[in-house]
Amino acid sequence: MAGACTLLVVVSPSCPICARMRVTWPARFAAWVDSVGGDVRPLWLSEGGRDALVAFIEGFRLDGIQFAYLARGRTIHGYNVLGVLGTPTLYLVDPGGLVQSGLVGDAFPPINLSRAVCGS
Amino acid sequence: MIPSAARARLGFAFAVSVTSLACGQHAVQPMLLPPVLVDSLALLQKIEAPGFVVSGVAATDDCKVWLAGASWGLIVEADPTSGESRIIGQLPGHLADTRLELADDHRLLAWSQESRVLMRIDTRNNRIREVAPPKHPCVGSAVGPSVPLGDGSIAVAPLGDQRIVRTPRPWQDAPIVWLLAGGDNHSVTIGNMSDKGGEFLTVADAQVRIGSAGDTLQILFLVDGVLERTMPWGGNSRLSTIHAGEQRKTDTVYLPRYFQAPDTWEDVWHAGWLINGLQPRVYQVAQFADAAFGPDGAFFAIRNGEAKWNAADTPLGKRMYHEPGGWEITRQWIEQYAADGRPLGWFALPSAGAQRLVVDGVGRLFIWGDDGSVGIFRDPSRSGQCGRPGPDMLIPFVDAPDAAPILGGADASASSSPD
Repeated sequence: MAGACTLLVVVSPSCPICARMRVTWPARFAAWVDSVGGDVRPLWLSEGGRDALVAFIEGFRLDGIQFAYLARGRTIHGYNVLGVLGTPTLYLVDPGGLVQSGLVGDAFPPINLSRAVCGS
Repeated sequence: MIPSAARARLGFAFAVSVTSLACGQHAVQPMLLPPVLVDSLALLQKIEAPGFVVSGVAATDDCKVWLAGASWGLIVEADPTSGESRIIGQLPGHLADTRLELADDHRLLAWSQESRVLMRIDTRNNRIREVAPPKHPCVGSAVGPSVPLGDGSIAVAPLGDQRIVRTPRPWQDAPIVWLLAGGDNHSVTIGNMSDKGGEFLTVADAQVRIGSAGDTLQILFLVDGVLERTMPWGGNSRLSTIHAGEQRKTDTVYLPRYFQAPDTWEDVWHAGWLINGLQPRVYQVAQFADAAFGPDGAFFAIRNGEAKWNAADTPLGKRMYHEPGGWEITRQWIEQYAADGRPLGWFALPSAGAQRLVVDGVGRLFIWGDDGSVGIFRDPSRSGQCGRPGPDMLIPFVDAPDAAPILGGADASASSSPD
């Protein structure tokens, strides 16, 4: 992770906005990264366990995104730790591991802030 | 996976970021006695669509129905007589929750509040033409309930179906309806959302449905059950606001009320670690849940007849909000009104939890159940061949991102004109 920002996106297989993001998000992310001008690596964190995540992303063109999941039965605990109130929730984590901004919904962090944190 | 420093920061913020607001009463006061419902709407047929959630419906004079898919904007034409259907194409832009309105004998208006898109569809060649949406002073470009007017213009209430919109401070007066004129990029605004205080109350109290009959624009305010009728382009053509202006003649009709509800109030919890971290609840009991106008201005509405406060809540809700729970509507029915606001009939709700309806103007009502299914009922005020029972419409198509060719093709072009 050294040298790169992480865009952590908390998603749920049962969330309608997240379902749409499987199609619309990659292009929007690419445009946002172009504007930021730095190295930002997307990581989608899903609730519901491994099988639910695999079923959720199967067949969609989501190249370049890393995926992780909260173990089944640990969602509430994970959300409490992360401060997630609903999905999608997005955090911009700087190269040092600090959360620099968070958003509810499928919007991206402000360009100016992101450029200051992650821009090359 | 999550850096420890980030975890600590988030955890801390979660613990300290509860802020206060709000108070309210927890009862509605009865006024009129509810009507005795002796009539029920006659079910004509159902739409069976296992892979297709219907969000928009419009009908042409030959009784055929155009349906819009809620997920990805797939457009399907269905024949109620045979029950058969075919794909027309897919609206561009991955539209969500697309609604359809009949503009004239060969054109439809499609709008999506979620995708902020407004477009015309020519059913003769399936070409589309986008219309620049209104620029709302609060939220920028926005699209809400829309209706084509007879002169080619379009009336749009950009926030008419959005309950949770934050009020910017300082407040800037905002109209309720935009009239997008055909041909000359001219637009006119109607109405004024007055500041109701709080973070979210101003827009929450201005929920409307709009319709038109000839030159008359109709605006039904759902929360207080008031119908306003005006002639935006006709008469002396002097343009003003509905509530504050004197120049344009406006009829105001106060529809019956069956209860007196407390003023809308809000409870806003703030997640300090999120840029847009306001987590609001708006508590409101509207007189109407929904309404739909026919082409002659007559309209049907889902009436909220009773409500009670239900204190049940989720563990998170109990932790975040001062007054756990919310309003629960305990009695609803359907009402029919003439264009001038005269009540014409009362009907039992076909299924509990119905929250949306569409009037197609050729003899049918489309009513959405709480599971998203759609039933087609006979419009009791019209006789005609479209209001006949038929086999259930089976929609065998799946509303997927690449289900069909995109409508409009290379010739489709964005336009700032609604014409």
